[in-house]
Amino acid sequence: MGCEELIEHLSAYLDGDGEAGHRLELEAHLHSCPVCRSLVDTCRQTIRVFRGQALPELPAALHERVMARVRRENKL
Amino acid sequence: MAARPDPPLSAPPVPEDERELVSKAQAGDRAAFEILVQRYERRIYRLALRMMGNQPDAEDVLQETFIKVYSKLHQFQQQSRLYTWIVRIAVNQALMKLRQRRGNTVSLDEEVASEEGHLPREVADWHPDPEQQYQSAELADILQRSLEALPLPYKLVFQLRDVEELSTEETAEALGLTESAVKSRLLRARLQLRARLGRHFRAKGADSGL
Repeated sequence: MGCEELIEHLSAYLDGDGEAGHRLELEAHLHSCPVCRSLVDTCRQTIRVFRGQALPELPAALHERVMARVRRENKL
Repeated sequence: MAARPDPPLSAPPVPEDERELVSKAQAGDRAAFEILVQRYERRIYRLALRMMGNQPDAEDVLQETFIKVYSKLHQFQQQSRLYTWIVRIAVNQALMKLRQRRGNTVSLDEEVASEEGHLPREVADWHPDPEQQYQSAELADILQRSLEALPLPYKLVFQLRDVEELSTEETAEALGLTESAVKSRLLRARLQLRARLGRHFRAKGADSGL
């Protein structure tokens, strides 16, 4: 197990996918490789910081405009 | 079962009342349809903003999406999540608008040349809590600019998989891509975003180079 294989399986590792035995091999590599450990940690932070952003507020009256157009165009 | 150091990134559950609300809306219940619109409109608006990059176009995409959702709702079989189905409609509406704007050159199917410099070659831990490092508006701007810099296929796959929390299968279905194409684009998107965010989030004194 080397850094290239870790990168190849990085997404599956982050998503908790993949076979248990293979995950153990990846974790053994992470234990011994600070570069890959940093890579996994910062990729996790990348996802977390995007996911942690609040949803945008809808502009004023947009919901009402959406419903009015749906009613008008579909004769609700 | 192997011990896992962190929980996997999993999709949020479908609300319990959704099947019933969809059935009611399909039977013409306006109130049920409006509840479904309220449930997803801010997420669809966020997706439209990310794809279009400006508020007026995102508003148009939101309106066109829910008009189409209503007119096609009788075709929805409830075999997939309603949200995934709405996302697919929203992506198509946004792509149509982008093609009108840029000419017929917008494709999700194209291979994108890989960007040099996104692979890790050094140990560089980040500030443990970037949300504390920046004001929220400043952080939102950093994230938006980092995402904007990605090619559209990468941006969209990242948005659907990692922000909207669709599965690989749902993302592939929504974008008309193979699961293998979703996986390869997601890896590249994550690595490129990480490289861009690293310029802002790197902890002072953590850059130790090997």
